[in-house]
Amino acid sequence: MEVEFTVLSDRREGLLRELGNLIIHSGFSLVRQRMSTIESGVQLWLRVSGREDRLLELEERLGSHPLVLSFESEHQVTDGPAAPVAPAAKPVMPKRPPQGVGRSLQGGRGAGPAVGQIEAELPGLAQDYPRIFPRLLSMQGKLPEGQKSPSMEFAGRRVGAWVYKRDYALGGKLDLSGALKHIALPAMRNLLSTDLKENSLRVKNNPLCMPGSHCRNGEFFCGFLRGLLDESGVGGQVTVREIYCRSDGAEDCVFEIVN
Amino acid sequence: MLGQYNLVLVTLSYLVSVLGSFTALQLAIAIPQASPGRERRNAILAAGTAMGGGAIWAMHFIAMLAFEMDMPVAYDTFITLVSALIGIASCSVGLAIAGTGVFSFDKLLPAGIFMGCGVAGMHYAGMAAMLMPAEVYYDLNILMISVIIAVIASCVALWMAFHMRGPLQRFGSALIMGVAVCGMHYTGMAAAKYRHVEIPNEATFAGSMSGEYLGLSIFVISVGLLMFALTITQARRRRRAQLAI
Repeated sequence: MEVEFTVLSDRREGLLRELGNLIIHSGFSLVRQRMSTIESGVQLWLRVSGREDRLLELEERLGSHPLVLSFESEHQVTDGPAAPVAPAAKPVMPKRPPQGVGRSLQGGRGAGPAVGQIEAELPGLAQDYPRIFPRLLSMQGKLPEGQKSPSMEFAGRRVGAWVYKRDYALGGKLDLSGALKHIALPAMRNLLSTDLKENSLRVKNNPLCMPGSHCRNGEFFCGFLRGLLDESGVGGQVTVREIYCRSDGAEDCVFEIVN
Repeated sequence: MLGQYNLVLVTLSYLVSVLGSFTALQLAIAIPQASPGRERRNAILAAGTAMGGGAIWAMHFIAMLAFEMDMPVAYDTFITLVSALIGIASCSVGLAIAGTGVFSFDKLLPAGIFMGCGVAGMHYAGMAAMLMPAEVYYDLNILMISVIIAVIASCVALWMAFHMRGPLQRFGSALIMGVAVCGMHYTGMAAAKYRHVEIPNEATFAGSMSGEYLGLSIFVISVGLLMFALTITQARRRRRAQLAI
C-alpha cells in the first residue's frame, strides 16, 4: 500500500534524514518527498510504500518522533507499484477530516484499533489532560464492541508518548528502574493515585475498572505506560500487563512492566 | 596577611554560579536528544561554555572582587583566559560523558570528576593569574578538601540533572552545582596563605586586567546568562504548548 504523510516540524535541519531512517526502520520505503516552509514551521510531505500491517507502527513512531510536532496521513490501499502517483510539482496534500485517518486499517479488521475514532478524540484528551477520565469513559462507550481493547491500548500509547515528549523528554536516558521511578510513576500520579513496588505499579481507584464489572479495562494504562517507556528509550520493547484488576475483586489494579 | 570578604559580593557570587549552572544544565539535559554529530557537539559546547565560562569563571572573579586585600591586585590576561578555557573544556567533557547513552553510576563518577576538576582547575589557574606584591602558597590538606567538595557536589548536581525529572531536576541541580562552585572556591581561598614580597615594578602589570575591566566582563557574562536562561525557558514553554498529540 502507499501512504501519504504531511508532517509539521519546527526544524528543517536533519528532518528528512531522521524521518527517512524512521520510515526504513518501520519496513516502508520512501517514494517521494517535498519540503516547504510555512508560517507555523516546516512542512514535509512524504509518500511511502510498504505493508499495511506495519502502518500502525509507522504512525506511532512518526507521532512520537521528537522532530514531529504533528502529522496527517492519507492512506491509499493499492496492489503494488502501479499506484497512481501525483506529479512531483503538485503533491497531494491531506484534505480528509481527522475521522478518515487510518481508515484502511479499520476496513475488514475487526480486532484492530478504531484508529480514526481515536485520532479524532486525541486532541480533546490533550486539552483535558490530566483530567481525561470523563472523556475516556465516553470514548470507550462509543467504540465498537470488538475494537474496545485495542483502541483503548492505542489511545493510551499515543497519550503516553505525547506526555513523555511534553514533560519528561529532557534529561538523561534511563534504565527501566530509573524510567519507572522518574517517568512512569510521576506520569501515572498525574492521573491517579499510584505506588511503585519493584517493577509493578499499583493504581488506586481506577475509574475505568469498576468493582464487580469483570471488565479488565487496563488496556489504556498498558498502552499509556508502553508509550511513555518506549519513548524514553528503555532498551528493547517494554511489555506491560495488568496482573490484578479492581474489576475482578482485587483491591487495586496492578500493572507489571517487564523489559 | 588576611583579607576581608564583602558579604554582598559573596552572595552575588553564589547567585551568579546558580544562574550559570541553571543555564548550563538546562542546555545539558537536551544533549541526549541531540542528533549525533554536529548538533550534539554544539549542544555539549554550549552547555560547557555556560558552565565553565558563566557559572565557574564569572563566579570566581566576583568572589575575588569580594575578597578585599590591602594591596593592588591585577590579573594576567593570558592566564585568566587559560583559566576560563580549563573550566569550559573540563565541563564540556564531563557533560559529554553524562549526556551520552544511558545515564548510570558508571558515567556519573568520571563526569563528576571532570566537572569538579574543571571547577578546581579554573580556580587555581585564576589564582595563578593574580599579580600583586605577595606570593600565594597553599595548605595542601585544605586544597584537597576543596577539590573533593567540587567533585562530590558536581556528581550530585549531575545526578539530579540527568537522572531526575521535574522541579528538582531544573532548580535542585542548579542550586547544588552552585554549592559545588562556591564551596570549592571559598574552601580553596581558605587554603591560600599570602606572604608579602617586594612591590613588583610596573612592567609586571603590563597587559594585565584590573578590577574595573573584570567587573565589566562579569556584568556582560551575567546579563548574557540571564538572557540565555530566559530564552531557553520561553522557547521550551512555547514548544510544550505547540506539541501536538
